[in-house]
Amino acid sequence: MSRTRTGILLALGVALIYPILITDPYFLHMAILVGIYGLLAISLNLLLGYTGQLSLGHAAFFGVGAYLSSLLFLNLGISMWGGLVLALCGCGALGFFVAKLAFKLRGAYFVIMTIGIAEVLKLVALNWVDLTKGPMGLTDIAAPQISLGWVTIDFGQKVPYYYLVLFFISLSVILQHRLVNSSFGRAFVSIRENEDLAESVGIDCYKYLVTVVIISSSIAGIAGSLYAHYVSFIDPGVFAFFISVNAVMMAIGGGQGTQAGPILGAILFTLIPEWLRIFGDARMAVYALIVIFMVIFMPRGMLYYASQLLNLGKKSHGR
Amino acid sequence: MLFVQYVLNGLIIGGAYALIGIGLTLILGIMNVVNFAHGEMYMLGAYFLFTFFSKMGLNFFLSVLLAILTVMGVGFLFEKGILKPLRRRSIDTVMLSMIGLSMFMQNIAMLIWTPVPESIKSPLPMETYTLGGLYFLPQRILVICAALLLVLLTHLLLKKTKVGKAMRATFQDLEAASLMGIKIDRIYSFTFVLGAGLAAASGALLGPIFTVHPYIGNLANLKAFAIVIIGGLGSFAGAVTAGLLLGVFESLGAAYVSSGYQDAVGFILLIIILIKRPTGLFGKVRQLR
Repeated sequence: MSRTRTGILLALGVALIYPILITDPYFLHMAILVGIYGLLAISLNLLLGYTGQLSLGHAAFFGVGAYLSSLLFLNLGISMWGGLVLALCGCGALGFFVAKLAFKLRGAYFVIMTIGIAEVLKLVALNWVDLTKGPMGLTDIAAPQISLGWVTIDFGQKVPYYYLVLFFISLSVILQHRLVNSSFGRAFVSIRENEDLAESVGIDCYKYLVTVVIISSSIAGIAGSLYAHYVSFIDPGVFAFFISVNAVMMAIGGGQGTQAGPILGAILFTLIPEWLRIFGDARMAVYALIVIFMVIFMPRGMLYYASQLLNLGKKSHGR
Repeated sequence: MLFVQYVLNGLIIGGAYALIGIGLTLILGIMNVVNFAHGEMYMLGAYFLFTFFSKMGLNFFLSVLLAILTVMGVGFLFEKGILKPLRRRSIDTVMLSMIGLSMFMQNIAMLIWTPVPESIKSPLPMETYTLGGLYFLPQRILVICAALLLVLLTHLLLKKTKVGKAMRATFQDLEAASLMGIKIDRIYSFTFVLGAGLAAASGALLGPIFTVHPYIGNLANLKAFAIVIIGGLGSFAGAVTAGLLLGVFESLGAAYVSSGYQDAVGFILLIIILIKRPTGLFGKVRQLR
């Protein structure tokens, strides 16, 4: 255990001093995006990695979180703190309904159902012009400020926002850790490994699956809210299929069913599209090839292969 | 009368939807592959028609045929090159590979044909015929006639020929079919190529009605999935019925509710079907894992 703990503390330490070492705004920007997509990947990994249910519509929760939080700010003037709470509750509630609907089915049916829900929500965002301004999108979604008496923290600045995102990442990692190592987590894994068997020993799979979707969608909603207040502009593109696919690639590419995997995946799959800019117009084609390559040849994720390489052995619930 | 016109228009588009749906349901039912690149076959069908007909100036019907054959060739390459090596892998791995493949094809199409939407000018006369107060555009008549013909041919292929019988046997029980000496690998290749051809035919038929751009496959694919599930997995009659139904409901939805939500109709139908009858309209009991 101690080695894992050292690893976590080391990673946290690096993350804490990162803005001090790196002052280039571009790298700070990338780090914030890694954090936001990392939250989305963590939320997806709870569902995909631990219960084995593949959702290709996680952009639905990301988008709803972004829109709820932005609309609350723009229409009622309530700052991001309220927006985060609303995104958490709203997406949790949406997750509850989606799970109730979608878990009548498994496998490919479930996947297509999740895609369908994200697509319907995208069409709502496009067509409910009075509320969402349609394809024009919402602008001027400001980040909040906190006054601590003698000093004011402006989250419109990159460094404070970086620490805010880091705070949420740490929170969700702790939550994930507690959850996975509880009886809940063991129930999740039993569902992943053999649902019929799990059911036969008295695990109410349906109940656990609904619970995990509620937790997962709430975290995805927070990621959406953080995204909206960071880039200060959103349009129906937040529901894009690409965002869902990318989240799945982060979870799988990093190492599904592991705790560090999604974060590693988020770093990789946020940076790879940036590195691929050298390919110009062929960028996304090369990206697609990388996706295919990783799915086929590295199904256990980077974390597994990296630890094999470093001969650390397995420290996780890897498949 | 207007209502009948909307239903008719819906049936015409629905015929083309049915073609995409049949291919997808066969591939899913027989090969157990969730083919996310199926919509790209539709897109390629439309683009190859554009190249052969609008760019190279070949005869329209010859171009349609060539477009379908070319896409079948592409499908064959993908089947042998990607799906065959992945035969023993989990359904999720194959599905994600196909998503990657779909992204790859969209971006390659963007490089070849540019992202600017193209329109294909139908060589058929542009004036409409009126019959009993209903309007018919020649290109649309062609779509429904060709779609019905292809549906009929595929039906005969499945029911009357030896390869069709082998496909049905593979769908029912893979192992037993293999024990009876059916070459599963060949059946898989045949199924995938057939599905690609049907999707390409759909793209080539609808190409002159809608505009063509590299991302038309996305929506086509999602609609095809809706059709497959509404109709019931692996059900030929289900895919045809669901395709036509989807066309009609979309047309009516656009006319009486809102044209913006036209593309949501498929998913709303899908959600209702999944709640009320998860096996689909014509569904068998077999569950897909």
